[in-house]
Parts: sequence; structure tokens; C-alpha cells
Amino acid sequence: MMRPSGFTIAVLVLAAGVALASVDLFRLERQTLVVYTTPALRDFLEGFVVPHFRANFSVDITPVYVSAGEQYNRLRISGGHPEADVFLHASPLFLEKGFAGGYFLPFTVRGDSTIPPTFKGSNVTGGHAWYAFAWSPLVEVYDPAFGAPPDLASINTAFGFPHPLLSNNGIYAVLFFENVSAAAGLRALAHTVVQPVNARANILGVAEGDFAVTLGYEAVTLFYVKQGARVNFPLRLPILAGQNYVTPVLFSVGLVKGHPNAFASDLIEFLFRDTVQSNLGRYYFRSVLPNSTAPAGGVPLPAPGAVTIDYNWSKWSGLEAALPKYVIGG
Amino acid sequence: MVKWPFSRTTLERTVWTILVWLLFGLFVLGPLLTVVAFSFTSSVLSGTGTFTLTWYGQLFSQPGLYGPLIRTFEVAIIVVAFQLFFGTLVAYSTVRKRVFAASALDTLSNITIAVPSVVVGLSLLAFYGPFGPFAAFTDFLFGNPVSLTWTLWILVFAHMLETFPYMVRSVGAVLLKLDEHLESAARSLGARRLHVFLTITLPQLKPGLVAGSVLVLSRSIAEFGATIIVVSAVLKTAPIAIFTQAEAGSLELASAYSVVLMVVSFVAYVLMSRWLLRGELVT
Repeated sequence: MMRPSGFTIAVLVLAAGVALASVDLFRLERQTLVVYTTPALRDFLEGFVVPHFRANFSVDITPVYVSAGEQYNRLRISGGHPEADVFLHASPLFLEKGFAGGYFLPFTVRGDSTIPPTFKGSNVTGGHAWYAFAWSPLVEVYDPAFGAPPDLASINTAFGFPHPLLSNNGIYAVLFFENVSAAAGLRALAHTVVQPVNARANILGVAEGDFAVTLGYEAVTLFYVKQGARVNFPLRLPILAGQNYVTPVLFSVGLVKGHPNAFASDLIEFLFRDTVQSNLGRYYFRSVLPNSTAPAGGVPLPAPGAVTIDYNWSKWSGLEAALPKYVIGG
Repeated sequence: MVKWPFSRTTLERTVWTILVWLLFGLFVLGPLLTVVAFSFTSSVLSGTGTFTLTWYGQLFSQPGLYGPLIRTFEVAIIVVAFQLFFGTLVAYSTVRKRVFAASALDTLSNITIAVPSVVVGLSLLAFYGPFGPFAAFTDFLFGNPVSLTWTLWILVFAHMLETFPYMVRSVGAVLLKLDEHLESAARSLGARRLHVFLTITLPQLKPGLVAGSVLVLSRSIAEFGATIIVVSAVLKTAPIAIFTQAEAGSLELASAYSVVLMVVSFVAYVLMSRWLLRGELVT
């Protein structure tokens, strides 16, 4: 019997390697659910959602953490062949914008009737453009040396105005000031030297002394407080001209049009399951379902006398137009 | 008069040795060894790091971390197989002048060495993307525009473009030295062209194929510039993971990835050198 040459064996090994590699890569490409999301949700997603969803559906999730604007542009250049299945964002702005641009599908979750109207997009044919699956109030985060939150109407110290074009945290800061006092917003910007590019960097900016005051998410602030970061505790709602405000940060979900993975809708439904909603508090977020409790250490709500800013996100274009005004040198 | 104990030649050699090794250490070995050291350090940024294997433990135990390593080698092996066919075809066509404008093709086969890899990535995105000629062409043919954006195909194409010259040059160099008379003699005895290629030409190309494969493998493993433009989140390779980890401040984990890539490339290179030196693959 003729003995195969080394060359033949090498060719066979290579062919087998190519076959195995191709099968694995195509499997990975087809079966993995891609979620465009924000670093603010990292612990909740990787600590709870990803492992539990995998256990329930045998589907892997790959979260992609880049800025909302970058993700939106990535979606645009894919031209109907997106890599992302689902968007999980800290604001509905890009979901509304993307829906208007034809990049997202309308959908309805099974428990729609239990979700308050402020936690979902307006009615469109086929359901809603987005739903909030978690929320967190905007809080005033400040150097503990102040003792109490400085009034934002007369801010006279280093402020950290998060970058409104690179972070959703910046979008909420603009939303707050534009709805309460644009003059105070521009005053805060005038005291800003460093513009954090995401909600985590924003809180760390205070903890590390880059600036003394900022507006951050309660959930992210609590996360760092529990880790021992040097930020104020207990948390306070933003105060402007003696008035407290509740600005709900809506962690929202959108379904990408042409999403390659059929489990995208299952993930969305999964986010509204009781098991997920009841575990949001562990990660310092608040549930969107009625009668939910605040996370440990969170701001007690409803707060007597506080004004709630329930923004109508269908008017996103007005908010978007105001964003560049809050960029240093913009 | 005291006699200088060293000859002029010895002194010159010593000075040269120190100078060359110093420069080599400063620009080549030093940075690479620092990465190795970082990969075994508990905390680089704290400045008080101690020896640890934690980063390797994490790298090889968490699917999210070792996934990019597996993907890197999977893509590399597919690219090597493609290049063995495609690179050899182009090298054979140009060296043996089997095509019109063979010299132009030979020159153009080096183009991706000259063009920045990020430009290569963007070109692929433009060509195979939803707004490029490929989508328009498939739309014209099948009534459905096909876009390869964020797919495995475009990733493999990026690696193929970036590694293509290495296979063409390696195989071409061996082809140039081959005696064409052997092939002519076989053909004059009635052997078909494919049979001649498979039984006479191909076996003699082994050194070029092996050298080309190792170069393609190493280059594919290291590919970054084009990959970062075209890769999807799911198919992220190790160089992209290194970049992500370094950017996130985890220099230690980024270093552990780097060491794994270095070891694999180095082992492949050593094996190739040994085989070629032993003449094992030279007929």
C-alpha cells in the first residue's frame, strides 16, 4: 500500500481545518444575537441578561459598547443588512430618529398594558418604536466637600457637562437644561473644561476630581458609590432655583429592521419578564412595571414638591438640534 | 610601552556588538519583552504589580475573551487555504506569462503592501457594501442587492488582500528558479498540462508554498488596519481585542493576548525555517 506523502497529509489537515473553521464561523455569525448598547448597562447585561437568556434560549448575545451616534451610523451604512439585532440605549432619541429613518421596526410587547405610557414610544402602525425596560432618575453628583447639592442656577464651580453628541448622558443633561433653564445650562457649560464621553466617565470625573459637579444617572452613581468612589451619598435630585426635578433616564429597546437573528424579539420580551424586572434593582436600575421599589441607596420617589420632566420623545428633532450648543467650542 | 591587550579587530567587533545589540534591544526586543512582562503583572497601572498568571487564566477560561483568539486562527487558516490557490494561480500566471499584461499584474499584486491597510478595509466596505458596485451588480443579476458588510466574507477578503503579496512573492521566487524544460519534456511525451502542473511543477513549489503559508498565517494573525473597518462584533479577532482591552485600560490582558499571538507566529516561523533548512520539503 502506498504511504501518503507529508504534503498530502498537510493538504488534508488544512482542508479539515478550513472546513471546521468555516462551520464554526458561520454558526457563530448566524446564531449570535448582536446588541448595540451603552456601557451604563454593562453589569446588568453581562451579569444577568446574557447568562440567563443563554440558559433559557441557548443563544449567545454579543453586546457592543460604543457611542449611540456611532452605532446609529453603523446601522445606516449597513444599508438594510445590519449586524445588530437590538438596540438597548439610555435614551430613545436615536430609536425615534432611526424609526423615522426606517431603520427600526415597530413592535408590541406582551405586557404592553402594564407599561405606563411614559415608558414607551407613541403609537405607530404595528405597535411602538421603542419601550423603556428600565429607568433611572438623573441625579446631581457632586464633590462631598459641598455637603449639599449646589444650585444649578448659580453654578460657580468646575462642572462636567457630558458630551451631548457622544453620550446619552449628555443628551439628558441638555434635555434637563433646555426644559428648565437654557441659561443655567450654558452657565454650566461655561464652567466645563472636561466633557465626559459616557455615563461612567461622567461619574468617575467627580470621583477623581476632574470636576466638582455633574448630572449623572442614579444607577451608575450607585454602582460607583458601592465600589467606594468618592461621590456624594445619599443621592439628591438636581436642584435649580430652589426647585427639585425628576428627569427619568429611559433605558430603551428598539428592534432593528432586517435584524439577522430571529431571537431578537425573544430578547425584547425577556427584558420585560418578572425575573428580569425584579432583578433590575440589584444593578441599581428601576423597573418600569408598577409598584416597583427603588434600588438600595436610591433617591426616594415620588419626591414631595419635585417637578417631573416627562419629555415627549416624538419631538426628538428639536432636542437633537439643541445638542451642538452644549459642546465646548461647538 | 604597554601593549594594548585587544587587537583592533576585536575592539571594533566589541563596539559593533554593543551598539547593534543596544539598538536592537531598544527598538525590537525591549518593547516585545515589556509586553511579555506586563502579561505576568498583577497591575501595571498601580506601579506595584506582582507576578501573576491571572490574565492567562482569564484569557483561557472566559469564552468572551478566548473567542477572539479562536476566531483569529480560524480566519487565518481559511485565508491560508485561499491563498494557496489564489496566490499560486497569480504567481504562476505572471511568472510563466500565461496572461496578457503579466508584468502589470505582477506589479499590481504588490499594491496592498503599498496601500495603507485601513484604506484596503474602506475599499472593501465601499465595493462590497450596500451602496457599492457589488450590490448594484447582484441587484442587476438577481433582482436583490447583496451586501457583504459585517459578514465573514468581507473579513476573509480583507485578510486575503492584505496577505496576498506574500504568497505571490514566495511562490513566484521559487517558480523563477524552476527548470521549464522538465515541464516541456513531460508535455512532449503526451502529459496533459494539469497533470504536468500537479506532478512536476507543484511538488517543486513546496518551499515557496510553505514559506508563503507561514507568512500569510503570521500576517493574517496580526491583521488590524483593514479588519477594524470591516469586522462585525461577533467575528472580532485578537488584534481588535488587544486594541479594545488596551483602550479600556487593561494593559495586562491586552499583553496576554499579544504574547499568545507572538508565540504562535514565532513557532510557525521556527518550524518553517527548520523544515526549509533540513530540505525536508525541497524535492
